[in-house]
Amino acid sequence: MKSIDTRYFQILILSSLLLYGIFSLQFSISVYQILAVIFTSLVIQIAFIYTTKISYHSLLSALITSLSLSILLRADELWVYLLAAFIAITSKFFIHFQYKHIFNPTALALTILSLSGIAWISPAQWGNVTWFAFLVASLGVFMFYRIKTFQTPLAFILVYAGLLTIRTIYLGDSFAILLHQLQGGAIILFIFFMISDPKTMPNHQTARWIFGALVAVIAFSIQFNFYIQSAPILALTFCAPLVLLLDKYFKKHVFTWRK
Amino acid sequence: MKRLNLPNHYINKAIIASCLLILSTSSFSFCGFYVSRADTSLYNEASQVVLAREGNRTAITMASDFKGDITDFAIVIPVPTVPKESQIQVINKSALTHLDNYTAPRLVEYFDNDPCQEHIMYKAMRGLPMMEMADNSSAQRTKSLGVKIEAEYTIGEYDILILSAKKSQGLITWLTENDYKLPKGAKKVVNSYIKQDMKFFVAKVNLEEQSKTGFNYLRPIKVYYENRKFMVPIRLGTLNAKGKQELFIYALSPKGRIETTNYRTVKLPSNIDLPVFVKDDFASFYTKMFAHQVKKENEKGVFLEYAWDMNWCDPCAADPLTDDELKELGVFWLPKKQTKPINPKLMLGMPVPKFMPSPQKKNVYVTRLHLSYDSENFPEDLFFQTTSNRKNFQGRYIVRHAWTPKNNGKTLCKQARNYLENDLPKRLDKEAKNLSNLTGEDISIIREKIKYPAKLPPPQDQDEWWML
Repeated sequence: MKSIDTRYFQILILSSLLLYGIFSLQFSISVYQILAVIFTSLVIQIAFIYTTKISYHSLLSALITSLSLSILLRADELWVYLLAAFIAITSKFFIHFQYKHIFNPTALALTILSLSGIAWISPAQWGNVTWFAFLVASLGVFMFYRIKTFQTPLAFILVYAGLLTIRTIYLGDSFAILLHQLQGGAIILFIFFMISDPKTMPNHQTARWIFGALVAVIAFSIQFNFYIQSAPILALTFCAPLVLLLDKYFKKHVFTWRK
Repeated sequence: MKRLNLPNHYINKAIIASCLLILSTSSFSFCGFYVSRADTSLYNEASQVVLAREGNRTAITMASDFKGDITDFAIVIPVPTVPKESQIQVINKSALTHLDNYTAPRLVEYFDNDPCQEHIMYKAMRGLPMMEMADNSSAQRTKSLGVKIEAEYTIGEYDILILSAKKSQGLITWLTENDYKLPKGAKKVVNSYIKQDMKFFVAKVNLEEQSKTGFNYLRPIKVYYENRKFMVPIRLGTLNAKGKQELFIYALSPKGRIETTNYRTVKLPSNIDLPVFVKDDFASFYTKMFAHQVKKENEKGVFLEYAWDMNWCDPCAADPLTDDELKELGVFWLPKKQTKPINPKLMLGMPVPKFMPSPQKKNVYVTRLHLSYDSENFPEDLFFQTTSNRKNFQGRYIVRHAWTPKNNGKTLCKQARNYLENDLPKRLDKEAKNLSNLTGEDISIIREKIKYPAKLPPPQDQDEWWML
């Protein structure tokens, strides 16, 4: 069982969520837009597979990226989706250091396109039931397969939820507000599919704790200074270059997907 | 942002195409004749907020349908900055009423053709009365309890104070001493706003000034401010409540649609065929449907009722707003040139919308959101984001009048017989199902109200092909 690549389960979860989103939650993305993202991602990935001789298994990562983009990114025009796929996939091959790509591809594309104003992220388009089901499924897969890389996502959750709790107590707000802030499909997707990606987190365990906490602090600051709800995604992109520094100070072997 | 600058025949096609996209159930290529609308007057205690925003600059206009004695009227609204006197204005209710009417969910109607002849009749009717609104207040000032009066103005019929405070208890005592009745639990919420560095905009009616206005209602207040926060504070409102409250938000933007970032923005079901009897009481249909949809979203949804480019409409529940009206509602980015409606005679063929995108089109996109809120389901204030989504959406419901045969159906062509015996009953049943789905009403009760076509006499010989 453990020999099955985690990414198959991730793809299953993300595609079910995307289908449910389109049919039940009014995700405003068309089938053409989704197909365009997937097609572009895969074509670019194949091109890089040919030129860099990496494994065909990397197509799974490209598919996860395109599904995540389809779930989170919203734009009016088709070309924006194509651009998103292009930014995400090419960033893996052009912006890398010592066999690791620096930016989480999905987070980078989302950050660039949402900050430029040509696209947006809809973080609140999730019903309560979806949120819970998504949490359980993601957590299940994570516990089973990715438990070794738990440090970064756990540090993020602890620090981020901690900061929100401190803020709630400081303001004297009810905990209903805290719960409301922590519920949301976008944050689950972020925790289980972006920040937990072993390819873009520091190699050393201690560094992973530090990195997760740092992303949480930056995310919190962006959220309550600029009032951007998708702050964690931006924070992950902004903090990504720090992985290089952390890797320099904490040495350990680089993670690779199974060949 | 794209600007349309096309010859008229292209524009005509563009609009037809845009209607087809949303009009899967219709066999016609235009958006139907406007019959009636569901404006905010349907609700007894609705509040209305207009947000005109570009970048961090915002004009917020607030109106509530306060129906009591105006001396009892008082509002306390958290605001992010201290506005200058010239940044606060009292505006005419008519512009807001017009915006309400323009964006209201609408009923349209079609008339079936005689299946034997290609002959179409159309009819248009005007609908519900305008919304009613009245608000009130009076203001005094006194000592401070750690409360600072940042500014004090009399604007229009309102005495306005902008307060800041260090402690919630001081502010609450001050407000209570000054006849601002705060609901239970206000202290906690006020405290939270103080710590978030919010100021308090408090207003009462100045009776002398109010009598000078000659109005028997209170006019909406508009405040300009510049701040990163794009939000509407609702938490004090939830404390007030006798149950749920209705809130309508009209967001005006040069860019595109506005959506809530901390609550789900849900499109109301739209472009749905309904039984003809809905036309007799569109208002009651609409309130029932809205209540049912709120339930379906577990009471937590913010509903999109309209999202449209302000240059046109199809069908129009009211004409688009003029530049002057938009400026009145706080739109500060408009150029000086006026937009002129296009002469309808220039359009060929079928009826077309009154207002079309023109070369001097105004850069205003309107989003109408409607929510029914309480503290349990909406614990946090509403936060928004502007998106570049310019897809038009309208709450639009359709009734189709059946064709009725002459001579009691004695002489019918084959097509007409097929229409009356097969197509029409099927369609009527589909309409009943639609209504039941939207409102949660029992379908058998709906079916009882529908007039199904009478049974036809058996076909006569003259219908046969060999009879000349």
